[in-house]
Amino acid sequence: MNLDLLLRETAGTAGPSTQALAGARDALAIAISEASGRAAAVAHIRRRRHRAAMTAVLAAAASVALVVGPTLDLGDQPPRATADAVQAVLSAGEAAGQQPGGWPAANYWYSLSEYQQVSHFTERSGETLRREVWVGRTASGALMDPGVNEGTVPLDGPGTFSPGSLALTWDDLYALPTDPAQLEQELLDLLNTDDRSRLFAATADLLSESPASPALRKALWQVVAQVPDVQLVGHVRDGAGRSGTAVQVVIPDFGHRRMIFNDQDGSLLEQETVQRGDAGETESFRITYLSQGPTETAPTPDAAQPTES
Amino acid sequence: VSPEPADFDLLTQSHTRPECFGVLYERHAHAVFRYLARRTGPAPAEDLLADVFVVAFETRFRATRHETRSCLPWLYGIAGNIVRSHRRSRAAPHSANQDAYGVDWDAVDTRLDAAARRSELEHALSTLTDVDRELLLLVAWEGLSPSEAAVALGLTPTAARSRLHRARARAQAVLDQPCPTPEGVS
Repeated sequence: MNLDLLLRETAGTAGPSTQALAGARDALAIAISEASGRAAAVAHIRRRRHRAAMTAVLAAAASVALVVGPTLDLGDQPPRATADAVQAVLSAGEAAGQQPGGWPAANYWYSLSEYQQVSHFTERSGETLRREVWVGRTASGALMDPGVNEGTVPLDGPGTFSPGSLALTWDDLYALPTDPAQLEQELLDLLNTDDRSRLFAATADLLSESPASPALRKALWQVVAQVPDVQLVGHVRDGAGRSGTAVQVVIPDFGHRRMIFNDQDGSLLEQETVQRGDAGETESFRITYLSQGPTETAPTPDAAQPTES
Repeated sequence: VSPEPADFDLLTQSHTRPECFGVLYERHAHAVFRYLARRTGPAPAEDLLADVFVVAFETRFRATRHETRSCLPWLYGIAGNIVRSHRRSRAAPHSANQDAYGVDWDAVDTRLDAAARRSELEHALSTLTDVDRELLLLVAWEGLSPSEAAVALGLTPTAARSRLHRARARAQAVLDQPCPTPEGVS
């Protein structure tokens, strides 16, 4: 039985009744009304009752709510004209397209990176973690990433590459069109969206930890060049101290997502997401790609894996 | 014609104009209800729907944001906590039903042709950790991207992607195993 089919078949559920929708709407209206300072006395009584019932769930909800961390030195520079960004990204694409390679039949794709998350979600906030991954074309892979688990974690089954919510196989990756217009449309279709701003993140996903061919990498950068409001940050150094060029998209009321690439070969050096909260607090995630390439073998996962609390 | 405001624009506006939060309810009530119904059954979901949105409203100043500017990952995170509270309140002490991210399998679609499927899925997912199971279901049932599901579960995007891959492969491996034959049946 195919897992995806099984999940689809079991996803069906009825919608809410009209009464349930109305009841929830009323409860929310009371909360909104009180917040607006227009609560009636009866609403206060109902609210106090409701508050008592909600104490436990409020405490639980707090665990998913706020992310606060120290502000990183992000090397922000005033973005220049979008045309500069387009030119820089297209140049990266040209450089990427001229690289040797294409690995449709390799056994594994190996990537070494370091990443850092600043967030109060994680116990290792601010700590730089080393990540090694062996993605299998047809065989199972392996992962060494203390942020996921200690030791060597098995990646069961052939590897997949995930722009957005998708899971593309190695063969799928090599079947993607390398014409930029066709690739853009294919990605939008796969993502089931017409929002081209989502392509910045999707292309970053496909440029990282993936055996994308030089031709596909070139096309991916050409797709990036067409993302609305992509900005050139300029020449920066990545987390490993390497020089590169950064482009970003600024997401209003969120922060920004940034990619740093090597001008000489169009390789992705680093990507970073920074989120700023209303009170100026900052959450960030940065991953720096140190090396990658095809390999014929992968380490054997620990026998005790996966065990996870 | 101006486009509809993004969720987080509304959320920001709701800080000073609380009534703006009502638009988020109209936008996402059905999706949140389906999330709840898939995990608790329709009847409890009808009761819990209000709790999710009232808690969300109360904690709107501290919302976890995602670059898609959708509130759904954040709402699912709150809904997940409320489901767990609900299950803990109903379960006997030390019951297995107190799973961190449990699924009430009786709540999964009980159509005749889906009953066997439900058992298969329950079996396949039983090999996963609670977080990995919820991650897989957030992507498969609720249609979140791995990075959106990471927001709901408090994971890094990278960890979510790795965990998802592993969870999918492990669940598929269980499905690929031959079904055990009942004793006495040849």
